[in-house]
Amino acid sequence: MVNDMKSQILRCNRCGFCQDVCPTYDVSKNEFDVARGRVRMIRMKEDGQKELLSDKAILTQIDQCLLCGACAENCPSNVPTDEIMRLNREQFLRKKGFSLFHSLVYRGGLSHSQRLEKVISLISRIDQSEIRSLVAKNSAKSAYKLLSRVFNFLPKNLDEPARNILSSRPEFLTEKKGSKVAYFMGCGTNLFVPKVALATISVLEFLGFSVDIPDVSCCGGPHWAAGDSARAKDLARKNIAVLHQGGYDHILSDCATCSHSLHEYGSFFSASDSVQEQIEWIQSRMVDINAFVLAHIKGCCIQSALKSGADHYRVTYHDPCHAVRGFGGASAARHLLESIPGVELVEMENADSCCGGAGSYAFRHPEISTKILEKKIAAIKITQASALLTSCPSCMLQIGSGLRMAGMEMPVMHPMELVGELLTNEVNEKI
Amino acid sequence: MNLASALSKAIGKTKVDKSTAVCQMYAYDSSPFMNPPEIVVFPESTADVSEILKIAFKENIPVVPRGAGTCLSGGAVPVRAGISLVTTRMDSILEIDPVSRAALVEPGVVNLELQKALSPYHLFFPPDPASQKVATIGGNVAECAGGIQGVRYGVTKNYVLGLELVLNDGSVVRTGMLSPEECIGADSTGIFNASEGAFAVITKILVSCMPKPESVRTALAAFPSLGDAANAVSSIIKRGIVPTALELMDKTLVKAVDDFLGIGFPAEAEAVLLLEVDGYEIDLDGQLEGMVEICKTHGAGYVRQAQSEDEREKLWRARRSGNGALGRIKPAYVVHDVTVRRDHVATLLTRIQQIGEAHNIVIAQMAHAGDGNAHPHLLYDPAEKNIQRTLHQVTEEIFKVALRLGGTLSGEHGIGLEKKAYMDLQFSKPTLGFMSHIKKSMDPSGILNPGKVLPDHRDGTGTAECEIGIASDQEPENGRPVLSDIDPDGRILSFLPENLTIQVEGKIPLKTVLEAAGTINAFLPLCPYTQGEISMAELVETAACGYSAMAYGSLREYIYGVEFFDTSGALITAGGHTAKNVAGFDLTRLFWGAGNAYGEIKNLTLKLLPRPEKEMFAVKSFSSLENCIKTIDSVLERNTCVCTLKIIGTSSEWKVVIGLSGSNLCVNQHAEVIRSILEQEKGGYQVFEDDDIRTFFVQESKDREHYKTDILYGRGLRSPMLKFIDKNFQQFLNTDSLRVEVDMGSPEIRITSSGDVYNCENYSFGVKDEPGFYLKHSGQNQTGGVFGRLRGMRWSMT
Repeated sequence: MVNDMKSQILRCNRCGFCQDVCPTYDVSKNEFDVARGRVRMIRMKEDGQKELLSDKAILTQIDQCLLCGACAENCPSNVPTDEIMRLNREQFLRKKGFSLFHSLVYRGGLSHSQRLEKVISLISRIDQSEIRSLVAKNSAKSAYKLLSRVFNFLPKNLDEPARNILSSRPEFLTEKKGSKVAYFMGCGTNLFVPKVALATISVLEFLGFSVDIPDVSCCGGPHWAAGDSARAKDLARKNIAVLHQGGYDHILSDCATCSHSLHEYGSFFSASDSVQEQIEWIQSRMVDINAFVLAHIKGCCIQSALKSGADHYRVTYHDPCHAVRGFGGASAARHLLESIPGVELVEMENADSCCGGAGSYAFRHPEISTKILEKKIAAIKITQASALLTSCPSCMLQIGSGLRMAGMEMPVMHPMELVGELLTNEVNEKI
Repeated sequence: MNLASALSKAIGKTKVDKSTAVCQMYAYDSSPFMNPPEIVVFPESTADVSEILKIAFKENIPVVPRGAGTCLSGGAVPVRAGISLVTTRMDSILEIDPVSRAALVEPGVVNLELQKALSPYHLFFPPDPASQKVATIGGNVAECAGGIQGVRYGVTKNYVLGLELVLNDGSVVRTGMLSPEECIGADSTGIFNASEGAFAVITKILVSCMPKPESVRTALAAFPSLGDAANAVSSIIKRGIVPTALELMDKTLVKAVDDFLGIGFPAEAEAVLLLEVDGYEIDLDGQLEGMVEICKTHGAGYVRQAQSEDEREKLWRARRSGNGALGRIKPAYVVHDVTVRRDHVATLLTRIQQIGEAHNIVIAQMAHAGDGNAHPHLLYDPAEKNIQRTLHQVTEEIFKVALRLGGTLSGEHGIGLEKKAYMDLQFSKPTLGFMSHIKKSMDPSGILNPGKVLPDHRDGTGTAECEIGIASDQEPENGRPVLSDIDPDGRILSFLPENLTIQVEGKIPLKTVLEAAGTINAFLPLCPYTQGEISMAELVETAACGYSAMAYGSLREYIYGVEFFDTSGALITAGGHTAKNVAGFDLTRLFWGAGNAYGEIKNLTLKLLPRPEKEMFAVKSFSSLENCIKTIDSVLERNTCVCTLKIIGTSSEWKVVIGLSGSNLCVNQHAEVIRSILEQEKGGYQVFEDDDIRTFFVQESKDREHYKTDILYGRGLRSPMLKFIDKNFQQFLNTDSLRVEVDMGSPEIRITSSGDVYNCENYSFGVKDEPGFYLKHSGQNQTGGVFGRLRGMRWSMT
């Protein structure tokens, strides 16, 4: 693996084309924050010129990468800078142990969904209390700054987690007919945008599928990106077992990160690992949610149901990194939106560039993240769309907070919500 | 106070970084060279740059300006540590003037960002280096970037109208059309093109842009040999077709690309040529047919025309993927950019192939064949034994072949660190001495990008005596020419229809040059209004501009090479026979409008243009200057093949001259557009075709009893440009109160408008047989003329 990394690093001939697409370079204009510089740093480290550089500098540099993958996609020499960064995070984690942040967020919260639920509900309660206004007043002070970023990040009046809602409304989970779909409900959807989960389930059921919500853990994607491959593998093994046991016809998620992680499970483990067979089974059943819905709406007469959305609705679509440069689905999402009568899709500039959310990045590097976000918001504003659509809860939170900070009252929606809303209207009208 | 705190105090600490990690990130560019600075600064304004240079000047610390850091020759690598001055945060497009077709930008603006910003105005910035997605305009100017479209549109320097610069001591100056003081006289903008940051730091650039072509045609032809493909290129040029691109790829490259993209190139082809023409829809099919026919007569068995935008994109993707795809053969490569006359491309490419075979090095060849610019890629594996020594040998042999063919070391990548050791091969001692003299006069303490361009012994960093180079090999038997050799009549030295160039002695009359060019149906965009014997050297020294400046710019864009005697009598060689030439500092524009301040011009090498099929002119009278300008603005709003826009005024009457040039079809079509514009105002107009307009101009100049206003619009010199420069100048256009006061007894000329007085000291007045008043610089040793130019406007009197 390490030798492989060396040969990948050597391929960089410093053409600098990554400057064109790197979101962190775009806001800092500093070579320290672009793939060419990051690869250079790792090369110096590998070449043993380490005495020149402090661990802190290297760590900062590899940690400030969003892992959005735009550089790798646009590199004439095919240098996978994102993967190189991830591997180095792994090396550092192994050498230095966990940071407090990592222990709390990755090992603590994200590894145990119930624990995470409690923390979020606590934050949400604090958020609605007077502490929030106190934080807002003192937001200049750096400790408060981070806290206020956290508050801003979370949607206002956060609903109960989707799983709780669903458990108290068993009708969603009862009627089983049609082919069997596993709806992989990610932590983000469950906790932060439960309405997306409800919409996804209702759309799938409307299309006649029997929707099962397996009791899965975090997909492990955040851990994998942070270099905590041990925990990522643990989580992956659990999820693989749960999904495999279910005997599903299709495995779907409305979270681009979860879909991407599930699809990449193969690279988590060695090629000879016995788990690979089950991973292949899972992969063969995975479809991008938008592509899946698009195919089945087209396949049945339900498209006429969508006709009710005759009002003109101007929307713009942001590509999650894990979709456009991961599991795919950039064109399916657009086709799905365009297939809804009355919906006009306006492309924003650089729709496929990272929103700066990148999971916990928004808190680890609030300044960079906010600057990247401001560019995204500016691009959205130009479109004069009345809604922003995207297919990843993490992007939804980040962009939602950006719109709030910019004082824009634009709804942030998942395509499933838009489809779901129109379908529900139609059903209600019929009743 | 240490350097970091001094800089932080001067410009703010967020713009200064001296951490080892960040310095290491500025140790490199896209070349193989590497050395870190001791501090990195990110100025955000001209004032910041000025503060930085004031400190550096005082403390004698090297400053290496850089933009995106995509230089291929090591220009942005700080060889002596010091300050790395990064302009990437100065990335504002300050103004776009669609009517003037010009943009004022900061140096950190990325080429492609400028293109995007110009796009809504249907304009583009022609220089298109392969790195345009990230390379900055500042870097484009400092290196005089070329690109694929060079064959038709030239290089960066052809589009630089003016610069704002911070000099070595921190003082800020403005040149060309950005300079309010320098309204008359020499334009010093020229010397800063391709100066690789060694003279000053560029902080603002006024660029001229071109209207986006209406349409484009692309084709691909496969040839049985490299030589056949290259010969097809010179035949195309000789035929008078000026394509947008003539890109040549050899078998090695084609195979690598085909492996990658599966285009399905014919396997037996030794070379392919990617051809593109752009322009007006009505002309293109004919031009493409002409090119295809020429390719076939040169043995092309396979010719495919792109039928759709998708197919065109596919062909270009094949071309652009070249560099990346080479990784399939060997992991690393060195790429050169030697450039020769178009008619020598076949020889150059064949010799390079032979050199590679002799040294057992795979050389993949790509060439901007249309402007003689070869890009041999020397493929290697860094793990191979003694590979660096072999690469050096191959490099030196390639350079020598190119120079023996009269070419240049570098067409577009620059000298930087990579080629400075080879400068002695190309240039004579006096020429290098002259270059280093200019460097010393601009930057005596040598703090601006030290250690670049000039060989070490010229730079004061080394003591090695220069080796006897190719330049000396060519020394004639009877010794080097001396000042007294200048032939008062002037002769034609070489005339190359395949390269569309002519080399003449400076004293040759324009008339003789035009007659020679006429024999191959070519011309220079100048015309003698009278039968005057004005010489080519004088035209250069007086910054002459023909009436067709809208289409062709001034004579400045047609100077490929100048040989001159400096004040010590030594012969200095600048430029050569090619459009692309960035070896050493660009001395070809020194004489532009500067009289003989720098010496005596001996020879000039000039680019010729294929004569358009048809020219058509309309002349209409107006009652006021405002109406003239309104009419001209209407013309400028339309994309027509307009070549001339001129306003001639007396106290009682104003006339507008509008000219079109191009193919018969195109001129006839656009004449309708002009007609509709002219007919919006009452009153008739006269129409002249081809040479008849000269009779009109000659008559016009004879008729003048009082001095008149004569405003000539040129490429990037349109009058609305004035708002970039000085609001006061705009009033010249809006009032009739313009006065030029000349006191024959004193060297002072005063130009006044609405009470504002522009003093032009040190110039005296003379009359030439060309219209326009003729100014003489009265400074010592400066007896030559300086044509009166007010940013493209010429005030005439007889």
